[in-house]
Order: sequence, then structure tokens, then C-alpha cells
Amino acid sequence: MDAGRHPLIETVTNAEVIGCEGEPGDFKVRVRKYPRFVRDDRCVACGLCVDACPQVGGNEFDVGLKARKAIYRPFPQSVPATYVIDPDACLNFLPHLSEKQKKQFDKIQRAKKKKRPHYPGNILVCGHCDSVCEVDAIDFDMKGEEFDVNAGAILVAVGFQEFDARKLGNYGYGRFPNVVTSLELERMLNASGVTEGHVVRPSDMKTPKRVAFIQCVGARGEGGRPYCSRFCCMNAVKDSMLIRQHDPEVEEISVLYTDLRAFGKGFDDFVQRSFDENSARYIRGRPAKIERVAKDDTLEVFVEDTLEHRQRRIPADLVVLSVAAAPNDGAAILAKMLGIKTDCYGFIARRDPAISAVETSRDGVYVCGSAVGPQVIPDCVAQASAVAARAQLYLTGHRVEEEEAPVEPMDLSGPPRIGVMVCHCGVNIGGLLDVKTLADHAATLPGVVAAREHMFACSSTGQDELIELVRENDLNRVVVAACTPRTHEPVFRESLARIGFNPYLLEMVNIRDQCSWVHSDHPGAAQDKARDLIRMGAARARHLEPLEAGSAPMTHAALVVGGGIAGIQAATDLAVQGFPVTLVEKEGHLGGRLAKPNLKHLYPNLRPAIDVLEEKLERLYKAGARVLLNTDVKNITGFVGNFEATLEGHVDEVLPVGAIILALGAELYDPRGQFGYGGLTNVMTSQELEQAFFEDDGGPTVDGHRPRSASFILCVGSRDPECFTGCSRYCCPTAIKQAMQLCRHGIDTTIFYRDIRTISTGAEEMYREARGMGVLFVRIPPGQKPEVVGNGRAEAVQCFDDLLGRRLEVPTDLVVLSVGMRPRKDETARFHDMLKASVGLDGFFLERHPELGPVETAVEGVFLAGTVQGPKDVVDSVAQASAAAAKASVFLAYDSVRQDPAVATVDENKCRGCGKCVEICQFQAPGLVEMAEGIHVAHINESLCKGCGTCGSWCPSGAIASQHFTDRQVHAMIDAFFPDKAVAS
Amino acid sequence: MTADWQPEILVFACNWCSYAGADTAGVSRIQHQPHFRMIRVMCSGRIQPGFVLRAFEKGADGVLVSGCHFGDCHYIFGNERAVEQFDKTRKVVQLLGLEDGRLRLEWISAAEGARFAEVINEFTDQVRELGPSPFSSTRQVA
Repeated sequence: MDAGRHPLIETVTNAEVIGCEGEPGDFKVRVRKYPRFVRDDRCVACGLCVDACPQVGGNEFDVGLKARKAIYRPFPQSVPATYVIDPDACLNFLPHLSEKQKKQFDKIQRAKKKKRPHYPGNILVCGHCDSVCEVDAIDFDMKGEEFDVNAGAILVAVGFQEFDARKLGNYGYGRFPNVVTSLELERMLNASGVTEGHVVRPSDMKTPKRVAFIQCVGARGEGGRPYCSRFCCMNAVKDSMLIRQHDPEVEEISVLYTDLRAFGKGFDDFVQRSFDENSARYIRGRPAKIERVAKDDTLEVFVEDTLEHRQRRIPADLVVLSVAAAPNDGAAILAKMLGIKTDCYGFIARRDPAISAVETSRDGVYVCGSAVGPQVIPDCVAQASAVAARAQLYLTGHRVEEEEAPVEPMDLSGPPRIGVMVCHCGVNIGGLLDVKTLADHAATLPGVVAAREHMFACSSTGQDELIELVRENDLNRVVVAACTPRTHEPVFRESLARIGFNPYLLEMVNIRDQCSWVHSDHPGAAQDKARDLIRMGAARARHLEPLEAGSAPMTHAALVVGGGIAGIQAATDLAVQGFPVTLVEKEGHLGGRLAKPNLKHLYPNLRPAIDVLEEKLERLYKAGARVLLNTDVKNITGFVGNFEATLEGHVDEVLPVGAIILALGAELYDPRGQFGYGGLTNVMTSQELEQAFFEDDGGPTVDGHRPRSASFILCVGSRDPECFTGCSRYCCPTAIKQAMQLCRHGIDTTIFYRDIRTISTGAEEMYREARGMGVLFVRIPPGQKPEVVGNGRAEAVQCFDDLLGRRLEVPTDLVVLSVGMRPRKDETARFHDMLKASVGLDGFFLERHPELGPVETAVEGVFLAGTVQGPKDVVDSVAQASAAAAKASVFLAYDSVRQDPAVATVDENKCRGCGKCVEICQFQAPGLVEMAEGIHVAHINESLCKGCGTCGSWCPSGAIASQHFTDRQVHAMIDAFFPDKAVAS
Repeated sequence: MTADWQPEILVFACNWCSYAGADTAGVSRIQHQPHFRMIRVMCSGRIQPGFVLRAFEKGADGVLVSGCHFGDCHYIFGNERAVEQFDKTRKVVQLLGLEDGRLRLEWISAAEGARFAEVINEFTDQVRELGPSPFSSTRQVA
């Protein structure tokens, strides 16, 4: 909805690209827009047309589970809010006629009209929607149009579609009604979906007693697609918990998996929670087929359970196929038009994910999200931010200039003069409530000088009437009783602001979403409620204060702390946009973990890390970032837009910056004391092995000669309640990469694992290749660890092989421990103290929100890039760093930091400096200031205050006012509910 | 108390979750009992004991405080602060002799329209069972 409202974003829906020519910086894209037959400048989304329409059509959003009318709104929050007519379902369209037949039809119509002049032309077969539409928005004659868009950069975000599960005949999708896909399940589980959040069997709409999830449908080799679809494991775990919550009658949920890929931050903990809560039983095996076993469409899933070593038939009332992500049907055509390449699966190809997360094969055309392949949401969001920043390259010179057309502020002083507008919203409110009586009653309320009704207050005529009401009656407060403020409050505020009326003197009363729509069984009580709510709204309006958005100046410079791959990427992206950026690195060289001799090759295609690093450095220097080696950040003070960083080392200075990106990196786990590391001579970490590759491609020597065999032990220091319960994400593909390297030099390799989590692009295919090469994979049962045995040196690895079902002893000349990533304790503590950015339970810095703020911290102006936020590999680090730079540049582009005026303020005379507010606030907004010897008073930084009001409710002196939600305003509303005891105030 | 007496309930809801949840109930047309009025605040952390007490003082028969689920608070830990305040509030309410069933704390997310309706129905029935608040006898019955 924010995108739809943004003044600089033009949303064109029901359209597609049909051609593209030009160059980066100057593309001409031809767009064809199909008609919606409803005018978006008129439709107010009242929904009357839907009630009137007699025709029922398919429903794409609810994946065919629910029907819709021929005129419809795709889903409740669709942007734009305009309805649309489906010409295939609407009776007024004759799509099956050819052009010739249509011409004949027109001819007949004209002849009839000639013969009988009173014969109405343009007879509509059905015109019900048009006849009930009160704003005349229906236009059956609307034509499509084609137009050109002149663009500097093109961003492709076409997403994915589900793998067509009908291709796997053995699962019965399409044949058995009770086999559904995960997306269909989502629509059922959605509270505003088809079944209001309940899981049902499509065959009889009853709650299933037993549900089975089948993973990897259309992925990891099935259906011809070898890649891993990333999100399905976690999705099934989540769905199992949701089903348990919504439908406790479900007795059994089974998840049939191959590997449980809980690779992201917090994922393993979530899976553990599922185990603890017994939300599902996890059966390890890929089913062979599903059969119907009873007339009532009960099913049975045939699977070999590799944990229990037996074949099983799992009865199920409902089977959910976790289908993989597949490229969108239109992606190939679009790619051709835009002149970009697709990969072997049909997804949009990226030039080089290790160099840039979002570049396609053509300059100026970028891609993000699932269009490149299966993604989880946090990664999509990060890439989207990154892509926006890259687009800037072709738009430099078009800085955002806030058009502050100076408007004379109105004189709003004096006793409150309130105007009330009560909206009918067509029949949505007017159909149940007596709006006229509400308006008449409102006119009698204290402080109200004028009251009016309107059919659609949000429409342009409604807005005009509101302005008229304000002017005619010299109003200084406005109450609008209509829908929820969460929809149209910004619209009303903007209209008022345009005439100089302070937008914070508006009160919206919700008599639709929270009244007429939900109390239709009690019209009398609903009327009373609406009347009371308006009275409460007017009472609050009397106490509303005009508020001005404040601002603080912005320092147009950025600081990037840490010169690893993430820091380099972030600094490059910012510098390229023209922002002065300083990259500070404690060591004497850049590159971090990519610098020699840490990483030799990148998976999956063995790119030499040094090549990647060199290209990145070239881009960095070309972009003009200021690089300071051997320099440390000793202290940081200030807040967003106004930081000051004290640097020491190669330079000694205090650097003023507006935004800070932390790219401090991570450490590797030290496995001392485990698996013989530090005691036995031939046990090394994966890092040490990688370093050995620099000396010799074939790896290290042991006792003077090349080892004949090597064993890799995965998850050392990860997925372990003793040190880190999460997954370190990079180790599975790294171990496979290293094992393949050794294998090529004739060394027998065995990998001991719990789950193989090859989710990175190309990693699953690499896993398959490794098996083909002869790398052995031994699966350890959950909860157990392999043992390294030997005297002075490791001689063998012992374990229980879960797939063979017996103990193994694998002789080995070399043991490699795949160590996980850990946060850098000292650095984290240091920067946490300086910036107060939160640190998660896992010790890594905490992002503001995994989906809505994956690269931000709770401290505004401070961002995270790379492994400082959690374990990840080079490709993910680069993507995240670009996203962090993009977010930072949004701040830096403005001349000042905008402050939301609905913030807390302190009355210094009442404040006794107890510090409670400082303790409570999550955003570092309040601070104690020494006013005089020993006398402290709290000051709230308006740039940081988010307006939650929590400090206001805790202040023991009542010194804090939560503006726009003050005590007086709330009290007034409470008092107004009970008019007999109304306190004059 | 007349035969057609209905409870008068005040609901404090946070903008991001609970108020949005009530809107979701609206969009989905999930019908529920109408004997309550909502006051919107930005965060459940804003609800101080004074608000609840004032509501009872003015004659509310029941008060419902609603916010985001733990971990979902738009302001990170506002709802946890709310719980702390609520515990204090509950103690005072008990001290004043009001029955336990008149004050309730719920976590309702923006998507849980059905849950919102369910809570309203349950709470309204519960309060109706308890009858008018002992303080509402100070109100003049119009």
C-alpha cells in the first residue's frame, strides 16, 4: 500500500512489457496495458458491484478454491483498490466471437437501430454492476493501450510459479481431490481465505484427522529439476505448527523429508520448537507413490522410512505437496524482449552472483527476488533494496527534491471549532446505519459547529466538500466518521495539509470496518455504537494539538566498518552513487576472509577467490571510496544523520557521518578438545585445509606424504546446544567443494553429516556431482557424533551409519572438521556499547526484523552487512551488503532527517531524572542530561523516538507527554463513552 | 438492572496488531457482539493503569487490553512492558473489589480477525454473566 501511495511511484497493473530497446540510461520500454473496464480514477472500492453481478468466475488468488464474480477485487488489500472485470466471465463480452463475427454483430445492431430509432444502441446483455455503481466507474468500452516508458534502468522482479505437480503422476495431484499443494494449503490457513483459517479436505470439506507433507516435490532431482527450492522445509515445519494451532482436532501430522534444511537465522531453533511441541512427526524418506484406499478419498503414502529402516504406508486424509519454485511462464519471453539471458532452468540468469547479487547479462537491467531462483523472504527483501540502489547508477543527477510549495498555515487558534463529516460509503455504512441521524447528533456535541454527511468522503468530491466545510465554518478541528484510519487517514491528512490545515488536527472514527460491517445482526446496537464512537472522536478532537514535523540536518557521508567482502561491496555501492564513504579496516589489507591465504576457491564452480577479490577491489577504487587501512574505530557518538566516529591509526581524526554500516565479519569456531583437534597430528579445520590448498592443489601432506584418505566431519560448532544451536550455512557446500578437490587428486573422501544443506545456487548440483565422483556420504543419527580414534594421530572415524543401520569404522589419514561461524565476541561487545545496536541470543548483531528490516538495526542509521549479522557465504554477503548500502543511501539522499511529530516530549519542570524512560526505550531516544550540579533531566531525541508511548505510561512524575496520544486525549475518550459522568475539561 | 441491559465494555487496542485485527474481522465481515468501544493507541505499552482505572471509575463493566504477540511488537518490547503494567493494574482492580472477569489482556495479531471476534464474544458473555459493574450504580440510568 505504501508503494501505491508514493508520489514518485506510478503503478501500472494489468499490463505487460512487449518490447524494449535502447541503452542503459536511456531505455525505451513498450508496455501494453489491458483494460480493466473499471475506471481507477473513479472506483472507490465499495464493493456494490460484486453483490449485483450474477456471473461467477474462477479465482486465481485463492488458487481455485473459491469462486469469485466476474467483477472483482483480486484480494482485500490489492493495490490499486480498483475493481476489475474478467472479460472471460462477464456476460457483456463475447470473446468466442472472431473479429469478423463481431463486425457482423455490430452491423446487425446498427441495422436494428436504424429501423427502430428507439431501439437502444449498445445493448448490454447484463449491466447490473453499472446500474448500482454510484460513481459511474464501469466502462465496458474501455480499450487497452500501448505506451512507451523511458527508463534509465530496468528492474525485473517477476517472481516464480509453482512446479506443476501434475507432472508427478505417482503423487496423484489432479486425480485425488485430497492431494493439495503447499500454496493451496496457505490459502486455507489464511484467516481471510477460503475456509477462514481451517484446514479441510477438499473432497468433503471436513477437518482431516491425519495430514502428510511431502517435501522436495519437483526439486532435488524430481520432475527433472535438480536444484533445491530452499524454503519448503521451513514452510512445512511452520505449516505443521499453524495447523496444530488452528485445528486441534487434527490428530497426526507427518512430514516426509530427505534433509531438513533449516539453514537461516533462527531456523534450527524453530525446528527444535516443532520437535519439543510435537507439532509433527518427521519421517525421513521420499515417497514412492500415493494411493487412494477408500471411497471417501482417504489416501495412503508409500515410503521407505530411513530412520526406522522399514517400508511404511502412511494413512492420510490430506496430503500436502511442498512444491518447488519454478520459473514463471512468461520469464523466458520477457528475457528475450529485454535481451537478457536465462539459466538452464529458465530463471533469469545473474551475470555473477559472487560479484553482484542483482546484475543480469545486460547492463542497466537488474533482477531481484525469486525471478533468479528459489529464495526465502529475507533474501528477497535484501536483494530488492540492493537492486534499487544499483538502479541509481543511471539516475544520478535526479536527486529527490522535496517540493515544499509553501502553504500559508491556517489560523487554528482559539477554542475548538469542530466539523464532523459522516460518510455513507455507499451502502457499506448507509445500508445499516442511519447516517443522517448520526450527523444530526454530532452537530449537538460540545465544540461541534458543523456536521455533514457524504456518500463517499474519500472521493475527490468528498475531499472538496470537506475543505469547503473547513473554510465555511472556520473550523480548527475535523472529525471524519467513515472507514478505518489505516486506509484513508493519509488521504484526508494530505487534503487538509494542502490548504494549510495542520494534519494532526484530524480525528478519524471507524464506523465501518469496526461497526457496520460486523454488527449487521444488531442494527440498533450498531447505531448506538456509531453514535458513541463519534462522540468519543469529537471529545478527543477537542484536545488534539497541532504538531509540526521537525528535522535535523543530515551529514551526507557514510562510514563502513570492516574491509571484508561485505564492507567492500557496501562501500563500492555507496561511492558509485556519489556519497563520500570511508571504509575503515583494522588490518593492513582488504579482503577479510577472501584475502590470501584464507579462501582459495569459491563454490560451486571453483572460481579463485583472488579473482573475485581483485575485481571487487578494482570496482571499489574506481568508485572513489576513501580506504583507511590499519585504522580502528575507537568511539562513535551521535545519532542518525549526525554521527561522529573517532578514528585512530593510519589517521587520527573525528569523522562526521550520517550513516554507519557494520561489516565486522565473524570468526570460525575453535574445535580445540573435540575430535582430537590439537592432540592428534592429522586433524585440521576446514580453514586450515583451505589454506593448505594454496601450497598444493592436492591438499596437505601428512607425515611427509599425501594422505590416501580423508574424512570430513560436518556441523562442528553448529547445531550444538553447547555452543551454537543454529546452522552455519556455508559449511556443507564448502566441505563438498573441498572433498571434490581432494577426490580429484586420488584421495578417498568420506563426509560424515547430519543433514546436507546445499541451498546456495548451484550447490545442490555440486552435491550430486560429488556423489557421482565417488565422495562417500555417511549419515549420522540425530543426537550422535562420530568419534575419531587413533594413537598420536587419527587412524579412523567411528560412527553409526544411519542409512546402513550399523556401526562403521572408516580408516582415514586425515580428518577435516567443518567448523561453524561464531560472532567476534570482543568486537561485538565494543560496537554494541558504542551504538547500542541489539545483539541476538546467538551473539550476532540483531536485524530490526527478518523480513521487514533484514539489514537494519533498531538504531536508525546503523546497518549490518555480511557475517556480522549471522553466518552466510560470499554470495549472500554481497547481496546483503548491497542492500545495506541501498538503505543507507535512502537516508543520505535527503538534506535532513525527518522527524515524525507524534513523539514523546518531556516537561523538564516535572522530570526528576529517575532514568526510567532511558531504561525502557528500545530506540535510545531518551537520554539524561545534567542541567546543573547533580540535577538530571531527561531529553528525548525526536529523531529516534518512534512514538510508541511506552515511556509516557511509565514515567512516575507524569513528565512525559506522548504527543497525539496524550493522557488528556485518552481520558476524554473514556469520559465520552459514559456521558452521564462527562467531566468538563 | 433491566432485562435488556447490555454490558458496556471498553477495549484498548494497539495500532499495529489488535486494531488491525479488528479491521480484518471487518473486512472478512466476521460478525460479533456490538457492546464495546475501541480506543486506539500506538502500542499496548502505552496503556497505563490509570486508563483502565478511569474506565472502571466512569462505569465500564469490562475492560479489554489488547496488543501484539510477543516477538511481534512493532516497537520490539512494548508489549512486554504492557504485561508488567497490566499486572499492577490487575492488583489494584482486585483491591477495589472488582471481579477478576472484568479485566482481560489478550494478544491478537493483525491477521487474526476471527480471533478478535471470538475474544469479543467470549468477553462480552463473561461480563454479561457478572452483571453491571459495582461502580456503575453511581451512574444515573438514563
